[in-house]
Amino acid sequence: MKIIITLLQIILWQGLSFSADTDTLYINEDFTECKLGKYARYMSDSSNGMSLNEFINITQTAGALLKNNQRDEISIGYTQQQHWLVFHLKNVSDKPLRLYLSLSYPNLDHVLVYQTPGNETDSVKMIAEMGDNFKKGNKQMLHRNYVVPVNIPPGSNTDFILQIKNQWEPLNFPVFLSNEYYLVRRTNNDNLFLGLYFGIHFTFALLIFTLFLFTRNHFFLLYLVLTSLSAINMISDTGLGFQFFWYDMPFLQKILPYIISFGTIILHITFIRMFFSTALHFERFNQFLLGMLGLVLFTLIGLLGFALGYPESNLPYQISYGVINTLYMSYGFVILTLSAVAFYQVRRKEILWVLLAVSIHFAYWFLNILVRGNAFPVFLKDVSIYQFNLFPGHLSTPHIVIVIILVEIVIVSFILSSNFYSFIKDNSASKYKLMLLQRQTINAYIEGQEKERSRLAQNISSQLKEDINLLRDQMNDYLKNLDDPITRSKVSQLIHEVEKVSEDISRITTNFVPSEYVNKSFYDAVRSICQPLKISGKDVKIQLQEPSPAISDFNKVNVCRILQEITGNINKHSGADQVSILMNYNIKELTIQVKDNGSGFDIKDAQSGGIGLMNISSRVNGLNGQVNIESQHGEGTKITIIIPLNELK
Amino acid sequence: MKRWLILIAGVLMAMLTTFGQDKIPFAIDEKFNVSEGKKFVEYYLSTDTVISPLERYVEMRSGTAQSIKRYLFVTTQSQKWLYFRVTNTLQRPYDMLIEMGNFGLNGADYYVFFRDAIIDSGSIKKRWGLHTSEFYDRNIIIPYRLDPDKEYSFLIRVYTNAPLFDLPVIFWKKNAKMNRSQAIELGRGLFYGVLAFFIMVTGMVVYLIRERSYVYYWLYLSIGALLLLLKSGIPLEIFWAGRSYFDFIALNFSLYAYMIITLIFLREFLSEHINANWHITFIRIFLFAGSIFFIIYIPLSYLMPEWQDTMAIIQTVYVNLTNVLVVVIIFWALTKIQEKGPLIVALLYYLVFSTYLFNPFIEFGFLTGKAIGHVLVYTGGILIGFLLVFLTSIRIKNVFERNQLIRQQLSNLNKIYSYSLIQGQEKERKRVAEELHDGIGAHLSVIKMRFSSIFSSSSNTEDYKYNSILENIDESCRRVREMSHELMPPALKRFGLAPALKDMMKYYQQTYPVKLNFRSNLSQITLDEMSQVTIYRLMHHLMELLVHTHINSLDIKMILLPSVQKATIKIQYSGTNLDAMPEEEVNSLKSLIDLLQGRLDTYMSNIWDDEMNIEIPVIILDNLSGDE
Repeated sequence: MKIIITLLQIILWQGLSFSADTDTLYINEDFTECKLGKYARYMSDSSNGMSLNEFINITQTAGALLKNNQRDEISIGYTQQQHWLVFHLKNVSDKPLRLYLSLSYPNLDHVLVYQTPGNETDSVKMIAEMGDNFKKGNKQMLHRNYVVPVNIPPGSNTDFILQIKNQWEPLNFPVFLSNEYYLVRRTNNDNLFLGLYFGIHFTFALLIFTLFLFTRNHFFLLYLVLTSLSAINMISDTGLGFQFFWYDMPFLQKILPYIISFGTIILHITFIRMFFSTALHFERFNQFLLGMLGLVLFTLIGLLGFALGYPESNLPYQISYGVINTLYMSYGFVILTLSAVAFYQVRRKEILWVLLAVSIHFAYWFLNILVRGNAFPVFLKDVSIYQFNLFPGHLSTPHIVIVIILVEIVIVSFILSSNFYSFIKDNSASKYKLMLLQRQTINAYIEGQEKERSRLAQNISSQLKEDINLLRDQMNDYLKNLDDPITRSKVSQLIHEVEKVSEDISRITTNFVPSEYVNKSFYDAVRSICQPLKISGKDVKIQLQEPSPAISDFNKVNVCRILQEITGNINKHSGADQVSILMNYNIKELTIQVKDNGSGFDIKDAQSGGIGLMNISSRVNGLNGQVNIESQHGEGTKITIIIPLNELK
Repeated sequence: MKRWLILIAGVLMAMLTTFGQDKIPFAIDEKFNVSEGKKFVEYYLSTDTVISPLERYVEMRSGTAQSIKRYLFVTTQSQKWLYFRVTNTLQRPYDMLIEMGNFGLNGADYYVFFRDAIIDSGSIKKRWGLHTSEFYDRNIIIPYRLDPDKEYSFLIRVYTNAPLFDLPVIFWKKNAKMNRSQAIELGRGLFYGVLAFFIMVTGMVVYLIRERSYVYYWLYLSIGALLLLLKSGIPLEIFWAGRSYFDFIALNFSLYAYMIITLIFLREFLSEHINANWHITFIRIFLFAGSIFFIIYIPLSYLMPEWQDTMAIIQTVYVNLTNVLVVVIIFWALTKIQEKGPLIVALLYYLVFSTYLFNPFIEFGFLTGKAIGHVLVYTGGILIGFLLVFLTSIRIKNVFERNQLIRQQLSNLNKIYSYSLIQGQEKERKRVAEELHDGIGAHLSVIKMRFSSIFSSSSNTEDYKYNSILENIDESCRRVREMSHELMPPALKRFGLAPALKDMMKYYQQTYPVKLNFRSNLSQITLDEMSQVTIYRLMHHLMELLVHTHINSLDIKMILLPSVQKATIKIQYSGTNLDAMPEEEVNSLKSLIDLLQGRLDTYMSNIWDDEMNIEIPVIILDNLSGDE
């Protein structure tokens, strides 16, 4: 609810102004904590030379010169001069109270804190002098805010006076007065949740980094740098950097926002440009974005020149804030418009991502500008993000900015995860395709072989066999005319040879003609394949499970070829005298088992060199089956083939 | 029975912790910032009698009370006392904090003695919420301002609802504690942030994949993190402040959930990789035991407080045995599994994570009270997180690389696929050609030799029939040779594609009345064998088609492009066009090109000439010219 109200207030450009209550703050023993902004009165010292006593005089004599702050935060605006702030407190209990005054972080360069002892004659004493321009050791407590322990004596009026010297950045910060319990509580919870946020952000950046390492994709690199810049921005903005990392380098703390602002916008333009041209091939805005980049660089050089030209002046920093903010806002609007136009023209899903991302960035920039102070002092004087408490405790953490960054991280992580998932899906799909294609390749190979066989068989029998038959007839004819018995016997021997040639040709052709198998039933074809074994005098046992399984003609040829290859091997190489062929099947698969008692062979040798075995296994693989060969030297061979029946139909 | 259990638990914990030491009084000086309290604190346990602080103090002061080793600080029903003496040697008041770990502690009463009289006392009850305590911290902290140059005795009585095997104490200077806790809180936040991000990303992937083993993995991670969070006391501080009983239930719930999900995850992981049963049986027994404890622990300890100690001991034994079992099984699996990498990582992760989970006072760091201890705890935790992210990205990398590999294989196979039909044909041709040439051809020449030798002596060489037989044999021989050459061109086989094509062109130029011009960059390129044969066949097909129609001139330009693995053949011819050619032949050419997944375009290049462009994919092994 609080979120909605705050957002509404931001949207409606309305401030949370409170009624002026600049009277004294009364403190008793039950005091926990309070924002002092409403109790503050301030004045700007245009001469820059007012002393403490002069200011005390003014408060005592001419109180009307002081302005009421009216808000929870101290919000003075651009500072080219010294500022004085005063808070009235009164301890109404009868004990001295030990409390902590904390000035929330943003960018206090040089502050002096004075405490008046009340209505006694004691003089005003300075209780702390601190600021970014001082080293860490000057802080009274190691804290990312400026914390001063204060003792408030009982029963008296006490004033706290802040003297804020020349300031680099606009002033917009809350001042807290808390007891110890609440100070520790705020500090601990703030640090815990900041740590949580940075843990998420750093791990996200690490993920992007590793992705970049593995893919070498420049998108990841650019995005990594953008993410890291926003993380550094948060480290610098929350004061953690100054507390833990660069506490001895106030200049770095000052210059870092500029580096980050310009770095971010330059990289952002490059990123968007790259996205449009590389990922979408949408070149239309290329020149425009390049021009934008030029403008940014020009501004950067201009500002640098200005800063170097007038080093003593406060003005360049104020101007640069305005310029950078304007640059960001206009760039955000331009990119939003461009993406909308691009989506209207191309209508691709990716452009919606850009739109989403840029909206998030736009909101982030906008709020960051708000957080930084009076970026638009005219319009937004009374709106502050510090009033938005998401977590139990806070000092100056700009929580809504954190929430926006986290939203972006969640969205990008989801996109990355879904991409990863699509890779996994694609892998299994491609694997299936690969398997399918492998089998198709084998089948195509076999088909080519078979077609060529039948073509060649026709060619050979039509041409060559006729010639040879003619030759045989001629020789027979010639034989009749011969008288010499020796010559006769020689010629008849030759005729026998010619007949053998003719038989050889028939053997080649009949072996190759698949129609032989196609015309016969499957089992008849199997039996005829085993015929050569029987002819060569081996003891062949054939066991076939009846009835014959339903097999397509193409696969009938295929299975016969496999068998033919095996029996051919047995005939040629094994020297076996007993062969058994077993074929049976169930609903799922067909099993073929061929056993012989021959010499056997070493499977390792055969696998590397044996073309015959390779032929068998490639055919069986084409049918999605399995081959298992058991063989040893001198102990025969057992080949088992299992083929799924549905592959054979 | 109970004594036995206490003894077992004591021995177990003694292995994990150190023994007590001689205590010395504690003095505060100028340099003091922070100190570990164990050197100064004596621990006492009274199980039987309810005794007042003053009586207790007298006992301790006189030395009659027997101090105990801290690992036996176990039973929840007894009174537990801490005693120490402290002196402020400074000349000013000093703000001191006495910190005790939060895990298992419900609260503490403290009594400050000066010269044997109670001068101050107070009570911190975590059960009622942090707001009741004086100093904001999720550990129990007793703040006390020591007057200058005085010696105090402190007697603290602690309340627990869980077994306390160890109770570290830290003395702080207040400012030091406030400074240190900023960094500690930040580190703690970072640690949970890393875990939270990792669990989120894993959760997203698991949501998309929806596979059981992934879900177990995710549950294992997230329940582990939840348990760690509950133990740190952050929820009790922020989410359900003051409801310590709820915290107790949540803690026990997540402890058992963590043990059970670890076992289930391990079982799933191992049953995917190892074919053995004994570990499954063991895991099943532990799962069963864990579920039983899970069901009875909370009601029993609520209904029968006198059983709390026993249950607590059983729980501790169970948790430690389970840890041992998991580690043993992983070690055993290491000897069985080929791929050891993931398992070693799993073991490391489990060991480190368990160290975090089952160290009762993780808040105090490994080296109690030392800054480096905290640094170790949280940098260690953050390193685990980074390790997890790194492993995840390696997994992403593997999937990514696998994707590229499969895609490459697919495209390679696609190329081979277009050739495989031709390859089958070619193999058959080669075989038949060899059989014809070496078998039948050789046989026929032998017959011819023997036939002519029969009659070489006799005079009937003029015999017509004899000569015709000889001619016939010659004719058959020639035909066999022709057939085998046609099946497998010898030039191609011997010298390669470029000379074979040159031979082919020469043959056509000599045989047919055509003006032929052939150019190619073949000599600069090495093709694989199949591509050579394919191009040869294609050219043969093409030439047969072209020369048998009435063309006058033929200009062929063949360019092989290694960068795209393609051959382009550009043929300019005049005298006829494609429509005039025999339809059957043209179709067969087209189907051949289709088969090779190539392209055929025909168009008129000028008034006289027609042009045919053929593009087929080939496999180019080497580019000798060196330019792409």
